[in-house]
Amino acid sequence: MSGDDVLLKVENLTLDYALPRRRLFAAPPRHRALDDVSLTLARGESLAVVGESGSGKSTLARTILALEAPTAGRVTLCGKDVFAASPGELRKLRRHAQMVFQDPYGSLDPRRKVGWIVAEPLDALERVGRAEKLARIAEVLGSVGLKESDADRFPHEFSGGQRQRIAIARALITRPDLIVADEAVSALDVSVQAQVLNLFMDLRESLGLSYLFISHDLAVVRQVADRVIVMRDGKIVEEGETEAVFGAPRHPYTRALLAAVPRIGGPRRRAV
Amino acid sequence: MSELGRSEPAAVWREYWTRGRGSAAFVFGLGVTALLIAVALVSLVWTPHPIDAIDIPNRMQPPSADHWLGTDLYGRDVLSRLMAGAVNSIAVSLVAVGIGAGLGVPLGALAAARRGLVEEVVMRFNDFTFAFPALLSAVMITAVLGPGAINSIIAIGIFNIPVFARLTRGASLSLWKRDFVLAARVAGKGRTRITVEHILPNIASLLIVQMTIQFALAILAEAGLSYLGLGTQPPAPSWGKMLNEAQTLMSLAPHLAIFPGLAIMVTVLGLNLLGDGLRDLLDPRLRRQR
Amino acid sequence: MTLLSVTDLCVTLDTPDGPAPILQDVSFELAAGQSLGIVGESGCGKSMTALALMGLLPAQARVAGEIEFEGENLLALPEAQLCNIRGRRLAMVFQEPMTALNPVKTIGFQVAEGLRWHLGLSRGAAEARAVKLLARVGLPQPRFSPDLYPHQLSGGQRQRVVIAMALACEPALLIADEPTTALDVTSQAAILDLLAEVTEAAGLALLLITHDLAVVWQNTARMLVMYAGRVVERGATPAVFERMAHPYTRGLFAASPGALEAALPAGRRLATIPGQVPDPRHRPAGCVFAGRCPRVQDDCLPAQPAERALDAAHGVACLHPCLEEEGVP
Repeated sequence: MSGDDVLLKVENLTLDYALPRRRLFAAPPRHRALDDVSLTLARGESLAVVGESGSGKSTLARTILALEAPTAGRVTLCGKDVFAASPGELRKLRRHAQMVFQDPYGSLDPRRKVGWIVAEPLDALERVGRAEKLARIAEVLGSVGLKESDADRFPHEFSGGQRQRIAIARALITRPDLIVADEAVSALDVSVQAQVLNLFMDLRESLGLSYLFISHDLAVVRQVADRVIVMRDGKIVEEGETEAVFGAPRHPYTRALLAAVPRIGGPRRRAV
Repeated sequence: MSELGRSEPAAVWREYWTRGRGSAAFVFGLGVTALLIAVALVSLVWTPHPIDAIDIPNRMQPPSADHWLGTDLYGRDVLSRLMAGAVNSIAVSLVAVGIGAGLGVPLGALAAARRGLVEEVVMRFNDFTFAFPALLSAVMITAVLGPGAINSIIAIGIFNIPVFARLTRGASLSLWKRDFVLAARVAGKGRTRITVEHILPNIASLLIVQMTIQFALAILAEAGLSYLGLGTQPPAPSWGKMLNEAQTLMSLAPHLAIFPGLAIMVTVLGLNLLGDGLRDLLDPRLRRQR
Repeated sequence: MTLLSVTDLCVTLDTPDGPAPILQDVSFELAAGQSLGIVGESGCGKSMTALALMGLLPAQARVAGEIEFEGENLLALPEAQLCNIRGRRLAMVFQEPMTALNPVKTIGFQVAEGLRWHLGLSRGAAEARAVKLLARVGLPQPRFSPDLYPHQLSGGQRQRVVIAMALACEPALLIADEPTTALDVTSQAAILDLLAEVTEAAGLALLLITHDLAVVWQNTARMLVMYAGRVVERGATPAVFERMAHPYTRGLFAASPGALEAALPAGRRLATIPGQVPDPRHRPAGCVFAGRCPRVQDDCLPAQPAERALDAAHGVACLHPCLEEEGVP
């Protein structure tokens, strides 16, 4: 992989949380949420990080977006070291990476109109005139399948799937290279989930986006990711092309994970 | 089904009004508060009698057609002085609560946004202030700074700061964990801007309720300080001072103590009911369920 | 022997914007020791059905129809008698094991509580039984002391405690409402194994409510598919999956990424059901699914189609059901 093609590079990322002190003068115990995690994401690639709760996958996503400070290690986005960047440089870097959250109800401020919400990254990161801002809002709402007039409505007027579209529109407005999706479809109903997954696939084709999918749902991951990383207790236990990992998992934990997924047509537990 | 407790602001206010009308406490509280403000405003332009017109021959008169609530030791009209005293109470309490909220809310918001050392310092300052009995310390402050309305405002105001700081910090901390705040951070917004644009609008209702309750406490505190002679100075009318003057005349002219006492009681009761009513009304858990 | 028989159950919620029919004409039967799955998306009424059975509907709900359990109409019983049945004959496992447990009481106390309350056991006897029950659900002494508190356990272990509480009084019917939705996939498998094992061993009937078709496939002998407050398809689980006669069932299946054996080829997309579930206050007059149905015809619009039998073990509420050979859209 040549240097130009690498969008995101994570090297030896380690993050410790301090736990509450047990005794007054003892050093507080530490919990290692990320343990020497390294990964590379190429431009246009879709990478999934799977694992169960407590595996560190969400912490990884937040650290990559500089929402948490690591204990050790480096994150390089578009060739720049995220944690060595000045606040101004970091703000420029943020345009390249945006995030979509799990809960479409919690991730939109209930007191703001959709247009305001969608334009928030633009307001924070770029200086654009009012006309261009409105045009950009209309553009991203259009690309996620919403109407321009939806900008004047409040989040509560939309269903869960539509709200997740709003959250995706917000992530798209700075024309980023990377979208980090943290369990972005796991709170949605099956039929709506399929619509949003299709939208992710469409946007990748039309805009050349790269994805970092954080998910516990292996069936979803199989449909959207080129490569998969399996995490457990803050460590990467397996990594590879999606079909290779699903078809022939090497690590026992990956095998256990895949075996636990219920399958229609698979073995049944109850006959009466 | 999943849309519980989330509505557009304008519709929310309409809904509050519909629901608020159904609560006797809220309606009574709102009515008393509105009456108090109306009386205070009217007294600025008109009172039944001039507030300091001394009329020695007619002193200590019980209520009559001419003097609805009687006259005091110097023959001044009690109703007029009560009306003017309302202005004084409102002004002192408003500024004192303003000081408390004006300093406490930013401090609390800062503590929640910054965490770490800043939070420690702010919260230890809070604990320090909380450790003193408020009214006793207000007495101490006015004793040091000298009596008067301005100094009683400062004394009452200082003890409102930690109340608002603590409330703001607690409510903000839980909001900082919400995804929409995280989204604003990913969007590249700084902590100050997030506080102004997301945190404060979402805790505004809580602050409004607390202000109502602190306002009632401030009215009590101001009356207490004036009663002790540390607050508003004569001849300016003040409910606390009126009670003080009535004290020695209790057996001769009980109405001089009863009416200011009633005014304080009804006002504080009304404001507390308003605060309770608002709390019920603005509590999202009690909001309309679908 | 029929244990539970629900007939024409209707639940209407009074909202400030008018009445909202949450359940309409829901009927089903469950024999002792049998398993039944209810599957559907959010807002379809599956959780409301469970609450109605437990007599735990919100105060604004109006209920009509009949719920007959062990020969008694639960809807006609006074609250005191209902309390006696609830927890003793009829037990429930909830989605969120953390909120279903009292954080300040030990797990041993919470399992023993039902025994003391319903069966009048002494404290010592109840706690001895609680220890056995905890061992039964895979939390044996001494590793899992009954003196532990809920926060000292993982999500899956907490759900085991909830199951032990449900089993305590040897009920006849266990209602599990999304029992594994909040759990990791490996804990989900273990909890479903446990549920199947304990219900089968005790001859306990199981009503399993879930949004996950694969969970229904694995864990139930018969199933109902619900949509917008109505039962749209029912039957023996293998029969329903073999034919998927209702267009909604088929759409739901096609939209599940888990139904696919491998990744879609590049450029292909998952099947979707267009539109969304209609608001209960403004449901169309005809078939509830008509607005989203790819097979809709003029005769679907005037009235909700009555349920008809496709064969002895399979019924569908659709005028134009899909045929088996048509395949998934």
